[in-house]
Amino acid sequence: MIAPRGPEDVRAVIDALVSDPGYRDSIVAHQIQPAEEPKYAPLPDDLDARLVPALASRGIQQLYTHQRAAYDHATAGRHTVVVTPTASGKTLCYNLPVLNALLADPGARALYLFPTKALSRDQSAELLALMQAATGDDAGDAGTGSLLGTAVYDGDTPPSERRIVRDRAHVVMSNPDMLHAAILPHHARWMRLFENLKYVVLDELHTYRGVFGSHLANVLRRLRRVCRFHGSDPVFICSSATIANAASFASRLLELPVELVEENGAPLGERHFVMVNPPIANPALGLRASYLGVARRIASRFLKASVHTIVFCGSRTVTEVMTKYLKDLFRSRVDRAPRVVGYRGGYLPRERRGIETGLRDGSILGVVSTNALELGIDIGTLDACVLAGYPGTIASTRQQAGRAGRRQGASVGVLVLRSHPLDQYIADHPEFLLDATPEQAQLNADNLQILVSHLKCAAFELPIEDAEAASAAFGEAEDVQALLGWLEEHGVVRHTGGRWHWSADSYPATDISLRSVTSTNFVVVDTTRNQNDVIAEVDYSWAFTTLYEGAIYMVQSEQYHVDKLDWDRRKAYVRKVESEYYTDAMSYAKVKVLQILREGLGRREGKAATASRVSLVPTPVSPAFGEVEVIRKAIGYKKIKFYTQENLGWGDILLPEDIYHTQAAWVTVPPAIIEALGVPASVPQSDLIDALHGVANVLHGLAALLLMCDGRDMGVVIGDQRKDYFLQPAIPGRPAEKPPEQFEPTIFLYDQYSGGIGLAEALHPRFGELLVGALERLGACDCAHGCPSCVGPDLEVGPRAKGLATRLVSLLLAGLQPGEAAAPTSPAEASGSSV
Amino acid sequence: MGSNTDRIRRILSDGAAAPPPPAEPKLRQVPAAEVVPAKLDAELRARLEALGVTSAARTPPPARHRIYGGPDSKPAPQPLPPGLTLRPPAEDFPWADVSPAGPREAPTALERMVGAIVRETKHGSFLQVERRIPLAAFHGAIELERALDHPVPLRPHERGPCQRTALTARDAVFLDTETTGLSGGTGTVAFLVGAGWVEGDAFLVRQYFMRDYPDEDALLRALAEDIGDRPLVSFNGRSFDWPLLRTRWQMNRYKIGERAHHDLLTASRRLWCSTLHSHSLGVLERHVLGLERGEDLPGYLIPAAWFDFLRSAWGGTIAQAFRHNEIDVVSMLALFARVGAILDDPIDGVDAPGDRLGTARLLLDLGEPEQARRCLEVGLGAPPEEGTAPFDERPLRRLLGHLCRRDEAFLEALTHWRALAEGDAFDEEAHEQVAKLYEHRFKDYPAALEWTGAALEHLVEGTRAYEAFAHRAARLQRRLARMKPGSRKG
Repeated sequence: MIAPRGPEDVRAVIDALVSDPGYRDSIVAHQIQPAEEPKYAPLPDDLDARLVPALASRGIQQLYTHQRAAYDHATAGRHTVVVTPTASGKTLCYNLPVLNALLADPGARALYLFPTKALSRDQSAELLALMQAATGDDAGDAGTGSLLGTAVYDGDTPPSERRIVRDRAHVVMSNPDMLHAAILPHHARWMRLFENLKYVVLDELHTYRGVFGSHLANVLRRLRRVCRFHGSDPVFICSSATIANAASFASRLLELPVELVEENGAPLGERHFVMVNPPIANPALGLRASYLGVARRIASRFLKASVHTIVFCGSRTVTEVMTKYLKDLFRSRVDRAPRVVGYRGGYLPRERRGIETGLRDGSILGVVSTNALELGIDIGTLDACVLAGYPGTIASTRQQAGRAGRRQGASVGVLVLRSHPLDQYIADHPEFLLDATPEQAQLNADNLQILVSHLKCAAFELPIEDAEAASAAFGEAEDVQALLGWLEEHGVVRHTGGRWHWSADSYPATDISLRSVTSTNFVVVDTTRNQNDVIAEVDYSWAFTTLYEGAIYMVQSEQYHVDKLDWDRRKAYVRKVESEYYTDAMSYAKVKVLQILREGLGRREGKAATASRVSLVPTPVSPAFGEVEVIRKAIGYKKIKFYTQENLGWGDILLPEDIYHTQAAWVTVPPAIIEALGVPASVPQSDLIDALHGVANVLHGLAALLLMCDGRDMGVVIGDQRKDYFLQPAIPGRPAEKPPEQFEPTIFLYDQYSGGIGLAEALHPRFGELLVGALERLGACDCAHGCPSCVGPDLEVGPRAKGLATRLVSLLLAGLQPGEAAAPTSPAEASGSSV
Repeated sequence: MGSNTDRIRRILSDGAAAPPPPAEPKLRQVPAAEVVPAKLDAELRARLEALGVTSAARTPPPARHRIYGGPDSKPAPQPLPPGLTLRPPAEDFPWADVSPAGPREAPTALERMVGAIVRETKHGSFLQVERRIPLAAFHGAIELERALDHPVPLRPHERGPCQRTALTARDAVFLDTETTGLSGGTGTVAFLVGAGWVEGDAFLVRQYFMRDYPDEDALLRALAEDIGDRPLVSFNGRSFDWPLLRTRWQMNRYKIGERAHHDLLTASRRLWCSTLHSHSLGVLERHVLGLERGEDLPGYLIPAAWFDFLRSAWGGTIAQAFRHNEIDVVSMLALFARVGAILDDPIDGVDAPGDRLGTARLLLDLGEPEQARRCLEVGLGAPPEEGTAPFDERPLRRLLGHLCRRDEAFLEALTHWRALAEGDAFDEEAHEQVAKLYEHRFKDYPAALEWTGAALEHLVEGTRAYEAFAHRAARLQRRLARMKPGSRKG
């Protein structure tokens, strides 16, 4: 156990960091938010008498103002959304009204929905403890027929317990996916719940953005009609991290009026936020010092000073590598070495539970995590947070930084920027992060595809009455009667007796996934000493790039060599090794256009296009959007030495292709523009390819900024699909395939999720903005010939790439409809205007 | 009108045991499929088509649900038990040869095809078919009357709120449904329900059929009234038909009482666990009842047949589902007779020794461990019957070994476990049991050590099993070492 640090200790560490001459020049921003005093409100008068001692036993004599406000709204039957920072006692905002209602009427029921399974387990334990304190009952399990009980209902709930949960649990904790696929389609079995449903709690509301949110809005439409059928009308209580439009977002998700509670009554210590841009290490090549190295050194500083620290990394591999580095830090210390652990999806549940407990009780000093710990899993609060790379959105940045922040004493968040166009854009404009309101969460419940999918599920659950179809039960954007008529044409519903009946031999919910989760996981089996223990689980889509034979798979920074991958049985057999390197897979993708849904930007023909920036007659450029098939294949891997990042060798990956349908936005470079670039087809085409790589690199980075998404949500690929030629990563000893004659390259930006999540669709009409932003980024970059912050490192893209890429972007921009290009807005302005 | 209908008329007019001819005035034309005007404007249609959603993709039912015949019951052509010859259903549906190839030009009234009446109720109407099958009739090799001979004991979870311990064929309603799918959930309906009960000297099978969705309410209420609070016999009904019907009643805001419910599938799985590879009703019919169904509409095509009927109002295919459903119900009665006979005399009532294992397991479920033990002992002792394949007696011994040990008949347990341990293939469990018995019951440490050592020779070092035996060996050696001075004293 490490002695907790006093507030002044943490402050001293922060001061030492910001005044360190080694960092002074790298710090692009340092923001200090002063401490805030608590604001209290008395316990409500109508609170059940049993709750008062129960709360007192947990040290609660009075409420924070936001807790009281939420209680008052909810008990008055008003739908409520609570927006307050991490660790402000948010859960009591909904637990209190729910418990009060259950104590008054043990027949009442509540449904809690969390975005992840881990959260529901966490919250179930917490609510159960409070219930037991209130009822003086020490066996509050739903199964034992005790006074009040909670139960988790998710994919891990054993079938033998499901019936007990259905009939007995007063509070059912589940997730939107289970509600959609398992609860609503069987609502008759859940009669007890739906007849008596008093409250529905939606936690972490901000995670229901985009497609997931659009689906959830429809699931909630279905939930409300099932409740109506069973005669209940529940009150919704939502909680959310800070987003710009919480109230309007909540009311669009619920399609109900909501009360907003946003004034935080919980105390907060002084919070520092520091942005560090690693210095340029090689001016000639434009290379910055490794962000991982800088993040590691800053985290080490904190850990050595016994400051409880969390480090967020952008990927699972980086998380493991960083964990190893930080563990190595204390390797020489034989006794009582502080504990540093890794945390990410794929660890087994019991291991994750152990880490969460260790963080809460302080026995773990440092944790390195993917964004898995961004959500409200209870890990207590920490003193320092290091973000290795911009997490992709302002909301994520605040959530992650919010993991450090005690109610008393100073805390610090440090963002170390990568040499990625997006991160460097933020380095140029720190105010983008510091001052701007976080993103607006968006959803579109009336997305035609999503709406039609859920209409099928709704008809399956309860026949849709004519009057209902004519009402706003499924939104007002589309003619629901007409959609049902279309479904009848396809033989899945039948209109008879004034109702639309489900009329097919299938279970529609199974064909509709609320998010892009693929079915079967891989398990990782440790064969060291013939133990055959399962040490991890890996999602299907991750298996291609992490479990190939020869890979070094890391768990808790321990290295395991993948000896054998049994693809059909979804098992990887690994053996523990001491490796000096880790592996990084390279994959390439091909894109096949299945259907063009939109082409051009609504160009008005006949108007002479003119552009001020280039003195050429513009060649028309026509960005398109449509359905595509992505064929992804892992082809090889690099062995990378720890610390030095030297490339130690290569290996082949022999795995099947991963094929999925998604949506893409793309732009084809017409032959006239290639000609205008001055690299005609006869000339060695590497210059052209370098320029294309460069443009793709910038566009990909900026698209994430423009769309407020994570860079990994979108893939980018360059190729000529008619000639089936796509650019691949270079592998030594394997000659790169030459581009075909009359190469007409297309840059595809696609949603990296089966079915698409609406990113490409949103990007398509904003191609102009995207190109303007790219031009600005290329112009603002100080490097001579290209660096990772713009077109990619000089060594990888060649010396002419930056100049050519700039020209290529200008030409593309000029070719767009003038109205689009003539109103140049930088991505910052563009995103600012949407706030 | 095609020749089929004529033929049906002819059959209906002369069969004495056939149902009463349909009363002509009650016949009502099935309403033609309602036509919905396509209100879809061209733009919306184009958008929908661009999405490419909504192929009514029929998801193949999960394998574990496919127990009603269907495609997977084909690849197990097991030889029939000796002495059993297949017979067609003696009291077949009179319109058994209604062929899907019949005339399709005009809607053919389903009522006439299957001899149905329209049953009018307060809540609407539906089609009803009723047939009386004399109990003296044979279903395959089984005389239906035999079902009255023995009550079938109920396992604890089958007993219902009244804690009924056994069920007679006269008490029960035999129930089977045809549904729009196997996936369950509130969107699956039972469009055809067959219920059979004994009435006088006949087995009465009443079938309830929805001509379209609006018939459901009337059908369900009439069904609930007809079966009252009688206990049920079904085939897989505990997990499929009954929960589905209960959901349908709930969806129609009707409450139905719980009751005793014997599921013949679970009993059959036990009874013929080692002799049959599959326990679909089709396989049991052939191998246990000696019934040849003849041309039958396979279960997996039945939902499509109903949807097709809804759209076309032509009854030719769906009529086949009536026959399929009726045979299912009658087969249940015959199977009930068989199960009752076996459980009435588990020692002498079973023919092939392989069945002894299943019978013993079922007896254990029923709380009859002594009977189970005897059944296994008889099975092991019986000389192999002529003409039957030699059977694997090890599972019988294994279960018997456990039972003897539980009954503290340690010597007998040792005999059985040693017989298993001395077999050709290495048997880890048997070695463990023998070693345990020698060590803890007979205090014969050298013998225990000998068997432990024998096991270690077969096991791979480092595995959990190896570690367990090694641990045992070490303990035995310590015990032996401690005993040496003692033995000198003695």
